Amino acid sequence: MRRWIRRLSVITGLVASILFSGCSSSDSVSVGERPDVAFISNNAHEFWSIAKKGTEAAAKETKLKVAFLMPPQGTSEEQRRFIEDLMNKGVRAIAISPNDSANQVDFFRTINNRIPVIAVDNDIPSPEARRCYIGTDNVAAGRAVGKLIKQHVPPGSKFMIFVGKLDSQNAQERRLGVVTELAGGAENAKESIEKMNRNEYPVKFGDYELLGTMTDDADQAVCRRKAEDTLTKYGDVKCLVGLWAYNPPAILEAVLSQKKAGEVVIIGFDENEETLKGIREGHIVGTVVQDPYNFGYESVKLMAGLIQNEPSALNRPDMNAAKQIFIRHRIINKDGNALPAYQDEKVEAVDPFHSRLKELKGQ
Amino acid sequence: MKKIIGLIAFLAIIYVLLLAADPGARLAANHFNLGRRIGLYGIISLGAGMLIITGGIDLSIGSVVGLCATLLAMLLRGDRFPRFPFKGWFFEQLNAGLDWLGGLVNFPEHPWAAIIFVLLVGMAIGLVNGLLVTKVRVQAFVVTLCGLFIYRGISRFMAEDQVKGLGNQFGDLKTIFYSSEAVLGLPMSLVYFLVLLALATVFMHLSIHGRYFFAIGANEKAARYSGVPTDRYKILAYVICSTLAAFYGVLYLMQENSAQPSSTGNFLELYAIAGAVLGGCSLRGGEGSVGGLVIGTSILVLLPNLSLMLGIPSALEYTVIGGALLLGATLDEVLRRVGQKDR
Repeated sequence: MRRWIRRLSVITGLVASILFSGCSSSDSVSVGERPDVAFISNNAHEFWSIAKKGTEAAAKETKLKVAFLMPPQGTSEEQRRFIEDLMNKGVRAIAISPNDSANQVDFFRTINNRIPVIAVDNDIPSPEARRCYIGTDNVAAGRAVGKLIKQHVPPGSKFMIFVGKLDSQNAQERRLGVVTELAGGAENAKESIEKMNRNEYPVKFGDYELLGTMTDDADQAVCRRKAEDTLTKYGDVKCLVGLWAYNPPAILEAVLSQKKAGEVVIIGFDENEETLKGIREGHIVGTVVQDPYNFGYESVKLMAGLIQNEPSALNRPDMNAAKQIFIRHRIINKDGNALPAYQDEKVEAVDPFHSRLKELKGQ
Repeated sequence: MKKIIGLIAFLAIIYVLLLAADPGARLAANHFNLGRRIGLYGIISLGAGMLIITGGIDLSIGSVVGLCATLLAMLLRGDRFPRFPFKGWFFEQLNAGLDWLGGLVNFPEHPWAAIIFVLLVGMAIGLVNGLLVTKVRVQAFVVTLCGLFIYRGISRFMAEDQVKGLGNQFGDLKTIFYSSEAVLGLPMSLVYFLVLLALATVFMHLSIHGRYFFAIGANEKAARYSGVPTDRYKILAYVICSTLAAFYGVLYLMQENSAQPSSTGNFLELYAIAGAVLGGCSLRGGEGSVGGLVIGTSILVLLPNLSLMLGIPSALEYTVIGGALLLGATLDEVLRRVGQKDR
């Protein structure tokens, strides 16, 4: 009997600890408190923690409670689960960076009929499925990468593109931008792009030859390995381009380990710490950065206007006819000089950019 | 029943916590969503559980889901399959064979043929796994781990890394496999799961075949010496598991309207195995019950919902789920021991 009691007390303790664990979290994240609006990213990368700062700043200004969710695996299935649960929890507007937006149109249309949906970073290709889009013009940002190549890589050179997954829309758009710029416009690039889409490498774009597109399933170690293999296989490759945030650091590591620093031009995308360090040290010529802080900030401001039924919310001068608000990308290089091939791109030096970024990340 | 009493208690605790967490959690809409998710996850947990009971394991479930969803999407869209990029007689014949196969049935016009074809592919994968494990005696862990890589690679190659979506087409199929609420207002995935569950219960607990499954898992040699055709039953378990994974792929495609060759189904095997093991299946084989599987799956589905309804930061979600599962498993073990001592 005594043993029985002791065991029962163990069980009671376990149950209590479960209950307690539920309650203790209530202090920090306010159990039962309902968010007014929600922001759902497309994965859990660092990029979105900067966007989160933006949502927090806007939340303070608008006095809204914002739930910020990052799906750990980055699938549309997880996002759908978040949205369904948030709707039941009573959120009044959602900003989301949809994974696979093209095939979720019907789903988003149903949601958008009930509460405002704002597409962030990846647009939803239907005007009824979202109130507006906020994000980077990825084709234009890809063209900025193309301009970096034109400026820093001699014509006639071979180059390779690295990106996490090609079934992501921004990866496709960025790559499209890069090759369109090199070929000197969409018309000139058409045939080569079809060849590229069929994986019939190498493909000529203007004065440059694309050796291939290496994917790594968003795994930095895999990217590094493939970059090393590229350097061994193609002794004459002159430029490596990384289109997702972790690609440039992985490429840099590979180039350094193969002792090819100075021989191969590295061009990046996004603002990974290692990428910025590489630019400062002269190993990476430049990177094209987006402005995730303003993705977050502008989304929450817009949602605030929409749920308060302000007619001016969607009446903004920076919105185009397709209801898209493009948040301008920038080229970051070592000294901030606008070089001839950059044309009308915004350029910023790495040091001031980096110190502001650190502030945003609270470092 | 006694074996899963701890789990039932744990599920009840989670459910009560969920109801208390937020008024939104009590809505019928939330219960509908939960039902749909339990149905989906339940289907693969059922396959994984039956296999685990025979002492087997399948790590390729997620990749089979990805392959089948991608394949079905491509067949329905009438996409052209890529050629193998190798020269030589063998590959020319193989490519010609693929073309012949592609021209065999006009799948976009006969969507049911596509679904049956995909289920057959699932069956074939299970058959290959089963044969390699029983006849060639390669460890199941190795066979299916290699399958995990191979099938993921095939779906990516086949789809050329493009998302394969269905657009607005095949509304009838989507109704039948996803959106219809014609059966007592239940989500369709739950309806399919309940049907499969009934079949599995009869098979596992009321027929001699189920007895054999348990016998093989508990002591394969003893089962073979008592005249059970062990290889045949083990192969059957692999076939059931992979076929259910293929069926999950069908349901997934109809629900999500698209398949991402590089990520659809990632890590699903772990959820399936977790659901089965949590539900009382022993990884050593020979133990488990269909009822336990349902409880295990329900716990796995309820926890993320609870985490969101509580407003726990999504970064902590996995920790909360893992911690809660560990608590549940401990609670279950302790209660079981109490039950045994008292007898």
